[in-house]
Amino acid sequence: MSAEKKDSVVLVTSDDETFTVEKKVAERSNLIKSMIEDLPAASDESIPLPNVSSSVLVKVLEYCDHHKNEPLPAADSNDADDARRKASEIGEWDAKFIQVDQEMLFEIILAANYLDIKPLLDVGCKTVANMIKGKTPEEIRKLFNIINDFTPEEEEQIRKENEWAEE
Amino acid sequence: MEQQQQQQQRPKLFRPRTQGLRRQSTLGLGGFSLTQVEQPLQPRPFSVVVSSAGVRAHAPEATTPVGTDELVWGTLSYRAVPEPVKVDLFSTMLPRELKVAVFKALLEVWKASGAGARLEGENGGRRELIRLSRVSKEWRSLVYDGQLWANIDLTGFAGKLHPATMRQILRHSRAFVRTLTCQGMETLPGSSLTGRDLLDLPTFSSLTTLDLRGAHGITTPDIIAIVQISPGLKKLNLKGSRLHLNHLLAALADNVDGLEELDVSRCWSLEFLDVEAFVARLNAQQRAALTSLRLSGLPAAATNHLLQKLARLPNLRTLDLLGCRWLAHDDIKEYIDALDGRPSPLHHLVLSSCTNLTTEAIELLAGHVPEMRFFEAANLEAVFYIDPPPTLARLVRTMPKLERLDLEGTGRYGGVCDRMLYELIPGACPGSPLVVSQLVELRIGSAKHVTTQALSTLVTSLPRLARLEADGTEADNALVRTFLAKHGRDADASLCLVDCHRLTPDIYPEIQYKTRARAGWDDYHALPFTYARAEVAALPVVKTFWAWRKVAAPKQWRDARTHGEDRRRASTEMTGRRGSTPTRLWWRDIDEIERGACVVQ
Repeated sequence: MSAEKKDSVVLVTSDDETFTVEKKVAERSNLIKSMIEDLPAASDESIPLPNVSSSVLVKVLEYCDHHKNEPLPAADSNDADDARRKASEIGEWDAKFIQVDQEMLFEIILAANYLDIKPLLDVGCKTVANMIKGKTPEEIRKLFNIINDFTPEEEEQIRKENEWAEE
Repeated sequence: MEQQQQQQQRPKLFRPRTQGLRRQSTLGLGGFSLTQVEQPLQPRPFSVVVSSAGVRAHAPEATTPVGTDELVWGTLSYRAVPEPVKVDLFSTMLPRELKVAVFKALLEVWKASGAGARLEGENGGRRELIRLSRVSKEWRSLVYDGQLWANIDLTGFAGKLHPATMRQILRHSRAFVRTLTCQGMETLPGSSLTGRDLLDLPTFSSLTTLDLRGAHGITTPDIIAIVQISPGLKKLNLKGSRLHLNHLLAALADNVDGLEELDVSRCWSLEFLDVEAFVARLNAQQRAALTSLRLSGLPAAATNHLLQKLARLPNLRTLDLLGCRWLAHDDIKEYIDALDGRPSPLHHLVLSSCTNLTTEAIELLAGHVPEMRFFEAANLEAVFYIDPPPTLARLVRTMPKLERLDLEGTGRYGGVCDRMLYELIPGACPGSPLVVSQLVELRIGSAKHVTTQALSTLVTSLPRLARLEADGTEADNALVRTFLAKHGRDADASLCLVDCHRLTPDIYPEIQYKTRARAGWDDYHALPFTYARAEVAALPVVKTFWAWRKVAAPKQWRDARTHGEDRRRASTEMTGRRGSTPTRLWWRDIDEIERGACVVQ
């Protein structure tokens, strides 16, 4: 049983691609971390990730690799506020990293949620929030291709109620 | 910063493609839909409808040059998916929980952006959520999700909020609301909170704090209806309510087990017997829960035993009896007797303006209130009229944990004397048990019998004393120097020496740039006071007659008021950065002003 084997873990994506990843990197994901813990020691079983495609996993692993040396947020810390406040500003590298198209951005959010990588989820949500911030409803519809499903009367009614908020 | 850069760069990245596409597109900047996109193309036997439910429309290859423009940068997938890009990915890809998480992040981003104006910071986030309710039906349901509205504080928009908006929020989040503040929403009808259409909703099961100050549209039956479905209520604030509250107080006693704080100050129609009946009605659990009772301005009753009943509340820490003129010697005596030798749990007692008290009555408290932190007995000059005994000196000796002492006006005829000040200094009086002084704030305005030496000794000896108000006393320039030597760098420190005739303007050259003339602050709520930039700097406050003459704003303020329309110009000219007109009502500050902390001299 070589030490090398213990240091890495094999992940299999939804499209059946196999990734051999440094354990330290993979453990940024609480899901993978707990799966590794559940594996029998010294087993070389791979870990299936049926909800993540390879293109997204590449991106997520890039994030995990960059942050691998940072202290892990305390497991099951429900002090979400605390952790979140720490990450109130998106770091320079993260901001660059998250410069992707909408589809990939949402894929990353989904994967971060599924793999339980809280900081990445925060970065993703904040990025979307920053896209939304300060825009008018019309701009939002354009940004996300949202179909306005209010009747003109309904929309007029809401616009009237919220007149003060639109100024 | 990075975000801005990101957004600026983004369109550039795609410019070559988008420009090429735009030439073929007939789309303007306005709203679009797929059918609009297809108009310039060949007539088609069917129209494609993309619903927000998430069906991705697979348009034929011929339609690939889909209209777009620079704003819609993110939808151009770099993976060159052959699908059309006009799909609502936000709606179709993310589950509801993650969509709500995005809106939570939006609130946080707003919160982190700070609150310099009314519509920034948290208020800005709430306003944006409300504004986004117009995007689509799905978004309306998302932005009013209960998880985003645990704390409903819309006082920043009190005058503007449409009642339907409050109803909309509650419709989705009534079970999640913890804090509901309707302060100042004069026109909000009670039906917005408890209307018939809300009957079937879950109860206010999480509600702990309800603030209805100034919400005059809400009637007693409305409040009773809320109380009946709010079993977890802990704090209820009805200050200044015009309602008859007897049934409400009964409903409170019947429905709420853990009420901790009740504020029924200055309720015009509240009757003495209502309060007495309320306290009598509480069971043991409720009595143990109640920690704060504010009854200022409660009218008199011929005979009463209210204080006797209050003595049976084992955890009552705050008791506000400001201006209760019925309070007399017998009431205090009944309170002490009912304690039956136990120490009183009171931390904060307000007896200010209880003009029917006597020195004997106040002296009764000595030795029975060892936990006292905040003791307020202002405006009792008539109690200490001719040749008063050193009652207060003996009383403060038995309050070793005192942090705030308010005797404004009480010392006019000698009620506050040097001996009382020395009792506040550890080790200054033989036999005093005081070891460490906790005193932070002392107000002894009009205490003419206090000497400047005693005040100076007090300032030098008490390490934590940072707020001293001694208007109309013998305080002189030396006291100002002593105070500033100790608190010169403390922005929270405040020395108020208005109408002290020994104070001369000679002191000003040396302190002018080290102090502020009044405690201005920088916030939306400060707008009506038009503070200059120097007044919100981090310097100690020294208020004097001379400093007051240097404050320019009030004159402009008065002028502006006289000239009506000129007001707008006056305030913008004076402080350019506060461009907006101060239009808000100022009910919010009435509280502070009533507490005697009015910052406008």
